[in-house]
Amino acid sequence: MIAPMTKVNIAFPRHLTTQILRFLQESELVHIIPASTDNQPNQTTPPATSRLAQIQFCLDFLTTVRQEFNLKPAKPKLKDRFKGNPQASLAELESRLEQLNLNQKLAEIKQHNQTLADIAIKQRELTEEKNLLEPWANLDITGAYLTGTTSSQVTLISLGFPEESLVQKQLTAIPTAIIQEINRQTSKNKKTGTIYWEVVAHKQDRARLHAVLKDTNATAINLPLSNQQTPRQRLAQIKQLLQDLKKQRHNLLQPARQLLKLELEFKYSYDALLHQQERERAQDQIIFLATSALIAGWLPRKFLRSFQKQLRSAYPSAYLSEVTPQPNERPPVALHNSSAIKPFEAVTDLYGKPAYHDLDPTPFLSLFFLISFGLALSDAGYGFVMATLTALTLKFIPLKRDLKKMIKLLMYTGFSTMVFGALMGSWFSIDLAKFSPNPLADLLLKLKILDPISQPITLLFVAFAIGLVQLLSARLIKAYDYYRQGRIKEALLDEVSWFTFISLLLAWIYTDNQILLWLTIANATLLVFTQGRQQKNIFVKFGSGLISLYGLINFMSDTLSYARLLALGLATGIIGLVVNLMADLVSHSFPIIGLVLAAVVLIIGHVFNLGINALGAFIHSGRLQFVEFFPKFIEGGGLAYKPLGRVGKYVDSPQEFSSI
Amino acid sequence: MTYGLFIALAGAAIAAILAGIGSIFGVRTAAQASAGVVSEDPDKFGKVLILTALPGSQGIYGFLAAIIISNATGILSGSPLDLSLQQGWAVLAAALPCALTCLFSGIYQGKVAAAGVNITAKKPDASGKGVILSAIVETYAVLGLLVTILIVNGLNLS
Repeated sequence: MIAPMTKVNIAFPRHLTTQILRFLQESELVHIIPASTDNQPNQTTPPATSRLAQIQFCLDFLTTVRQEFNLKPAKPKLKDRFKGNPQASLAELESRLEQLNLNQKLAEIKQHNQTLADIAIKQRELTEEKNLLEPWANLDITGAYLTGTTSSQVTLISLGFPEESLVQKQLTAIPTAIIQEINRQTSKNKKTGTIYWEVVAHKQDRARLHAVLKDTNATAINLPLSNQQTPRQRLAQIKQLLQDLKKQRHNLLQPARQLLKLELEFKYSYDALLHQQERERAQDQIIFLATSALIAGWLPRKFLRSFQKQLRSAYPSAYLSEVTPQPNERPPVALHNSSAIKPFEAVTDLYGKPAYHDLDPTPFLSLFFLISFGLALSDAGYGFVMATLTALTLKFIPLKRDLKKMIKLLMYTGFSTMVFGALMGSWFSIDLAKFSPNPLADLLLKLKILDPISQPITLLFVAFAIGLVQLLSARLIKAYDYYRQGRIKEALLDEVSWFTFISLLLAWIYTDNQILLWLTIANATLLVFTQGRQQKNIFVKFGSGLISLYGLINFMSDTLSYARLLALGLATGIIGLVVNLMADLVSHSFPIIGLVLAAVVLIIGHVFNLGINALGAFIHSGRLQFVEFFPKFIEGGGLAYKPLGRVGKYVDSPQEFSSI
Repeated sequence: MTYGLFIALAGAAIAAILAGIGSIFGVRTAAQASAGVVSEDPDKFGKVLILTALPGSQGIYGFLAAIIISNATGILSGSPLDLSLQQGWAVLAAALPCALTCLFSGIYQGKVAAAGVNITAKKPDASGKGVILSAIVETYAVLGLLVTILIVNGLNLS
């Protein structure tokens, strides 16, 4: 049911704002709304946001450091793998934030980060230089000579193998040029490579040398060599520098390890700051006066008294009062259901919250959803797998409330699928008749009352029947809704009359009884006379009533929509059959490993089939509720109830894991 | 196999093919829009998933029409009937309403569903209304399927 909400005002001395907000966060009950309509939001960035960015920077640094120094955390044991985030109360988060000296740690981390970055840059520069100099290691002249002497110049060129003869010919054509080969590098396939030549020529031949370089693919190389060093000396120096940088980097390892120990503290502090940020956001909605402040909000009436008591005992100077809401105000919507029905809220949440004045559709959709899902997946083997896996997950893995709802729902649908699968004799799509003398096969065959593949039309009518029942129930539920609001006339004339009309029509079609025919016609006449009663003109009234019989077409199209259950059920069965067929083929094609391969085919195929068809069954069963069922009796579009409460990126609240 | 049976099966194939194509285009349009919304806000995934799945109904209707025809002609049970040429053409004609209505309704329902995804992006509380708008387009595909089923059953092939 939709929880009745009370609007409250909480007044308190202004200096207690942070404490009151913290109290609200821990109790997770009050949905805060702007206390006045003309409140200006705070324009400046609240301090929590910038500190959050700082902690995120620290956490990113720790991740980088872990990668750089390969400090992988110890491999988690199997049961710890599903542990998820640590849990802590809000008080514990805040105390850890205080203990962590954020500013000092931040300065330290910034410095280490800068050092790491600097080292990386220097390493890159030196390595580039090394790569440039390495081919010229055998060149025994210093940088001073590379600029040439008074009358001669030295040019270093590199060229590829194909150009060798051409360049050589052209260079020897220059009268004063002498070539000395410094290095020759062949690539792996021995076909191409680079040649490094030193060309010494008279300065007057400079132009001709340039012309040769322009005409061919040879390039002049500019070596960044200082005047006193030969390439070999510089290379040795670079090697030493690189080793020093490596040592510097290694020296960071120790402080990095120390910081890594604090990673958990950073995470707790991050979440503490997230809560502070939420409080600051909430402050925008508080009215502040000179010495007092006022929060307006909603909370479920069920918790009003206990919350009032808690607030009074914790903060005697604060006062909570109930307020009557304005007529056009929309209270937030929260669903409260028994623990058997609660998992189905996962389906309702997909559609959105019902409006506050609507009926809660969750209890009504429960049975129909289960039946639709069971028919659509229709394989008892798959149902068994789903039920067991989800049951095990629920028992052994701690789950948050929303996920727990979904898993429990899947467990229910697993059981439903087992029932329908057994009724249709489908156990992993195995042909039970082949195993007939076997007692187990005989037992399972006894349960089978319908074969989807040989009797598809019968199954189609079963699907239609389910649709009819659900659609007629929708009418009755709407009638109940009208009755609840005291609108008896609408209940009887708009809903019950249609219910009786359709029931009589179906009964007449099925039995061909004359009395039923007259009753149906009488009911139709009633509809024609009453459905147009909103209109002014008598003719329009009558015409509108006549047109309302068109609703029959809508009803028919809604019922036909349920045919998809047959389609989905058939699809699962047929794909399962094909998988079994393929496995059979494989097992006969190969002598010994055939059985192993067949097992692989079976597992992959059935897992795929289960996945695709379970998803399809869930979505289409949900769709049937949303499109054919819900709009008949709810308006939807309700505001979700979001109380000021715990948030968390790295740390969870123990309350999130409470039983649903 | 008589020509009549061949033409009847062509009808079943056409129903499945065209309706499937309609759903393919429809779901593609809706899914592209959904991906855009999820890229901004992953929490909306459940809501847009429903909208994306909506245009998939037409493919199911085409599949159903093909199954109904296969069942009526005896293919499904393994003992195909010997249909006359007229019967074959009649079955092909019966398959056309489902095939063509589902083709176009699938494509256009996809566009409406994409617009519904837009509603969900801007006003997540109103996503149910987008679902209903999208389902209105489907009514005509359902009517097409109904005509196909009625005619095939009315032919009394066996």
